[in-house]
Amino acid sequence: MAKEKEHINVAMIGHVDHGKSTLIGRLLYEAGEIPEHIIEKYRKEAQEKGKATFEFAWVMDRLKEERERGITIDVAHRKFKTQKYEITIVDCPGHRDFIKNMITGASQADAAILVVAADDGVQAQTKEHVFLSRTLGINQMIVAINKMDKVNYDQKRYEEVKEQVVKLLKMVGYKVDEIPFIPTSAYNGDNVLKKSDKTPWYNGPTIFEALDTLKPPEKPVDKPLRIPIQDVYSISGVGTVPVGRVETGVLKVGDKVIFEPPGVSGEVKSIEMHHEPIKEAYPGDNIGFNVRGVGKNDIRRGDVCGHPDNPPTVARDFTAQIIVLQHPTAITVGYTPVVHAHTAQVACKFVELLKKIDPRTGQVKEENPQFLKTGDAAVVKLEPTRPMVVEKVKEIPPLGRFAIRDMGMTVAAGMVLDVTPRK
Amino acid sequence: MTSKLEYEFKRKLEELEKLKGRGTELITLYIPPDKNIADVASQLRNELSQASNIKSKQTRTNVMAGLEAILQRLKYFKKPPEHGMVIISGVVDMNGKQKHITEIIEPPEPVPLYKYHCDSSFYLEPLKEMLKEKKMYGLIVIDRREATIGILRGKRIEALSYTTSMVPGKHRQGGQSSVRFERLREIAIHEFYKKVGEKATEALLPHKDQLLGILIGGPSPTKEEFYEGEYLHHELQKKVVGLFDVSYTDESGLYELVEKAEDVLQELDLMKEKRLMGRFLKEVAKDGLAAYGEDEVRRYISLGAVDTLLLSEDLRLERVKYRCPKCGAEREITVREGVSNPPVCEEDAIPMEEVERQDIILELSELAESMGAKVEFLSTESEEGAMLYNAFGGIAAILRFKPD
Ligand SMILES: Nc1nc2c(ncn2[C@@H]2O[C@H](COP(=O)(O)OP(=O)(O)OP(=O)(O)O)[C@@H](O)[C@H]2O)c(=O)[nH]1
Ligand SMILES: [Mg+2]
Repeated sequence: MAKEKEHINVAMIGHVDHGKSTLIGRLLYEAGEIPEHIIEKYRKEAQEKGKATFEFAWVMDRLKEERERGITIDVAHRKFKTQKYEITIVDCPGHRDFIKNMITGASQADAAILVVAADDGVQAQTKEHVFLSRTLGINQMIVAINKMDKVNYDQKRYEEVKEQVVKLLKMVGYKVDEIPFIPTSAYNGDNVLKKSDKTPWYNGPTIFEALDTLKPPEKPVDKPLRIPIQDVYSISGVGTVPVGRVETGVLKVGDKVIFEPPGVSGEVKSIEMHHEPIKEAYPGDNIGFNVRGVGKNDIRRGDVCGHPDNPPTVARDFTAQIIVLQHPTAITVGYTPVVHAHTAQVACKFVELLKKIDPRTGQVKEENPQFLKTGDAAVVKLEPTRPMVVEKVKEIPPLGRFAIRDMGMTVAAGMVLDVTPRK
Repeated sequence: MTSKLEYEFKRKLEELEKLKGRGTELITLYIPPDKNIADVASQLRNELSQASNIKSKQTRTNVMAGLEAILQRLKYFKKPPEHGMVIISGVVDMNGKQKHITEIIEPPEPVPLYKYHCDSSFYLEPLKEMLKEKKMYGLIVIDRREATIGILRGKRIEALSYTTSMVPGKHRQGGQSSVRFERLREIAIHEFYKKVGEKATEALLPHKDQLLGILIGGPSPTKEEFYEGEYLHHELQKKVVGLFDVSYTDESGLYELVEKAEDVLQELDLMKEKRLMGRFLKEVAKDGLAAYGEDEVRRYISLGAVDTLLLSEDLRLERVKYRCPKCGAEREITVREGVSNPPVCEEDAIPMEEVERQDIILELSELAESMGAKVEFLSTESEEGAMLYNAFGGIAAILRFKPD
């Protein structure tokens, strides 16, 4: 039997309507995961409902309200194989009202495909998703300049949009030379799986090929176990099943586990990945696991599972280095925006502005500044308004990075330098 | 936001609350606007004759003195002032000394009752009630996963109830057909809306008479479905004043909802505080027309450069004027409330004497008004007001121009 393929989680991100779901649908269809007649059926139904051209998106947009409105609301996962990898693709919503769902989706990803429509170019959520990906520790990126058919496969327009994206990616520190930029038409299938003859001027990889150039994620198995909970199900006959991605450490059937902040513990009866039982789960695995001794209402999204001998840290407050990405006014002590760390979202109050630093050199520019504004980097102390798990970024990076959102936008990004545990 | 009068009224009540009498001899008299003064006087004379029977000599003397003082004051009134009045009188302990005080308070709202009250402290509850914010909005944020219900009262947003749903998400559990899945989902959604409706009844219906409106927030189509499906109690349903796109549905969603509903809530104090601090912080961030800290602000006021002076209600600072008893040189300094810190005269090397003491809020606002500036008082109850106090020392200004 062939050796099992290595597994990678890839998030599909980008502004609303730029073609993320369609690109996934097209990818799955061409890879043979979706039979022709299903797409045909969707094509008819979508047309009847006044949503023509959404047939590929419907592969991922299964909820009634998503199909009615023609937008993705919650994240969805699909698995497929490339030459090299087994890929779990995570479809994220682009609409600004559902950013919190996008963050949950992206927090599970090792890499991202950024979709930018060639006719629209870089838009508000293109920017926000790039900021957030960086914050969430997604280091690998593929860029699809999509809807090339709408601009007559024009190379000049492609270069223009590419330039906008390059600028944006550079701004937050992505190494653009290592990033493939691919002109696509998700709807028509250009450069998705097969090379298109409509873009003779392009000789790079297709989306499918580019996926194989990704590097497999490191597996921090030696670190303490941390599984941020994404959802909790109660399944009759089975019991409570939390769902989440193993960030660090190893989870085995039979393990005693604890969930923080609630502090409830139980025993792992079974672990399931993609509807198949497994004995052990490793970093990067998206799993559901049945825990005896824990009720559905004891835990919720944002809690973190660990082993009782090294439980997740619940913060009374934490010191962090942040960078203010965009803020219409100024940030001062007392400001209480929402902090997104792993799958948690908790309003946190700025209790101290310790120092302002030069983001390039790391040197202290000012001790105890009175306020921070766009572009400032600073060390600050934050106090969660309700219990929340965070870890030092040095020790457990995925649980030490966070984004700060307010007024419908991401205003800052940060990493945790130190944590004062509760109690 | 409070006006200067309201601020003074609040401080007055705080002061009176601290005062204690030796026995049950402090008199508080509530006279509503429509009360006949002659009737009040005759009742007081009645009380006076009864007071002569009080056993304790000290209490008897003090109560009678109090009643007489009030009767004396009443002579100046043919009828009560516009809002009625509250008269307090009695012998109180002040720094260990006994002192008879009598005062007439004309409150900002009509006195709601007629009452003669005699106790060891003044009876202030109905007056304090006037300070409580009565304008209230109900807040509901809801999506498929969770819902939070709260209220916005004055400057405070308060979460009252939080609920999560059992609506299955897109991680469909294998097995059932898509039609069946969709049906189960519809049922779960309906159940969840019903539950949220019930929670809203529990949390908001008791306040229905004070509710100026109810705001519903959440992503579409959830909030629309919830509203159009009339899951709210009919008394609450008719109070809904708007639906707003909000992305959070936990407690922070309540804050987001209030920001999104800014236009509806405009006349509320909280929004005024938000707007003012927003204006100020914007200037601060671009190093523009803003100033903070007492010394700097004081200087700009005196230069006529201040457009709007922002003051935290909770400053509790006093401006004290000292004078040298010998050469007559004067100095003004700012101290914590009640603190004495006489400077030494540079000429004569002797401590100066206190000649005047004033609440800094009143002192600064008078100064500012005399220079044509607007003055705004911010509470520390809102996030914005707390920022003014904690981050900027409670004294800040938006400037007309920036003098060099
Ligand atoms: N012409 C053209 N239309 C496209 C292409 N890709 C997607 N579309 C259309 O764009 C619309 C939106 O596509 P979706 O896939 O739903 O977009 P999305 O990025 O997933 O949107 P959200 O999930 O709501 O953020 C649909 O009508 C698609 O048919 C393309 O390559 N060319
Ligand atoms: Mg989509």
